[in-house]
Amino acid sequence: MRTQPLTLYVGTLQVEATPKDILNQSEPLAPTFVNAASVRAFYWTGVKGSNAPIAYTIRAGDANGWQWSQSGQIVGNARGWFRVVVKPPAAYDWYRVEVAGAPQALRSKITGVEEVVE
Amino acid sequence: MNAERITRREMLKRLIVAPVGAAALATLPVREGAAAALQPYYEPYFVAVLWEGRTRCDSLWRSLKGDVVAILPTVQGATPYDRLYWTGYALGSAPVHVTMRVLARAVDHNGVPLGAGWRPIGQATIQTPPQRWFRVEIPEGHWDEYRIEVRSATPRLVYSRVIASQGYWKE
Repeated sequence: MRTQPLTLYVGTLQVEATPKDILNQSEPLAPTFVNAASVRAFYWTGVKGSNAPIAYTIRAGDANGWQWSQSGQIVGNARGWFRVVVKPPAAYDWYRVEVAGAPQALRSKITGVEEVVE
Repeated sequence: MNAERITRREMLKRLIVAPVGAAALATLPVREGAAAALQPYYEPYFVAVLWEGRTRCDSLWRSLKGDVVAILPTVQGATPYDRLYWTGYALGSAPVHVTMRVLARAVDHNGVPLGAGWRPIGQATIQTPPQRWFRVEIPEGHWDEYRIEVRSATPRLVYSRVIASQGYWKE
């Protein structure tokens, strides 16, 4: 197996206290990415809009529900860069990248690293 | 100052056989030794040369390309690579004392940075005897662009290259 990067998302989200994913979906069962079973790692980078921390939760699963999650906080100054690395323990079809926090704009990008069969 | 002109082929040979000076990225792990020993669990399937050339180091923070314009990257298109290595040597008969720092950022589909400024990845001080090779490992990969800056209180001419490796997935 070799690896190959894939840009999964680039965009700006207005973060609010209510949790929602980076596609601005509030429905907790809605996936952000589908057909992502080949992705073995996610590199989430971007710039925060204010000093307030942003809580994030990344869920992974499939149509039967979420089976794995990782939570944390994105901390840093306004206009400061952040990076979150996610390496799920198994292959999952669906992922949901959810954020919540004090109102601020979150400009970010998610790159997935896929396994490619040679 | 003793100048020495070498070919790219000669430089590659020296990269393989030359002794390695120690250089540590602050807060980041550093490994020393032969290239094969650098990645005991990680068999690289592809290695790319992202930059190669010479840099006139002085008291200013300069990109390896020589500029002092902080918005300009040193290398671009580095998204596929797990880690980068900076190797080289400084001309001259005096001991080498060069400081370097690594900055990184992400860009959108159009190549525009997501935000202003850079994220500092790490820094190192390279202290070696004259004409000794050094190598710095930059393990935080998958950023789109990097700016590698150097400076030296004593002006030095540094010949170096930046290579990047893309590995097989660690099983």
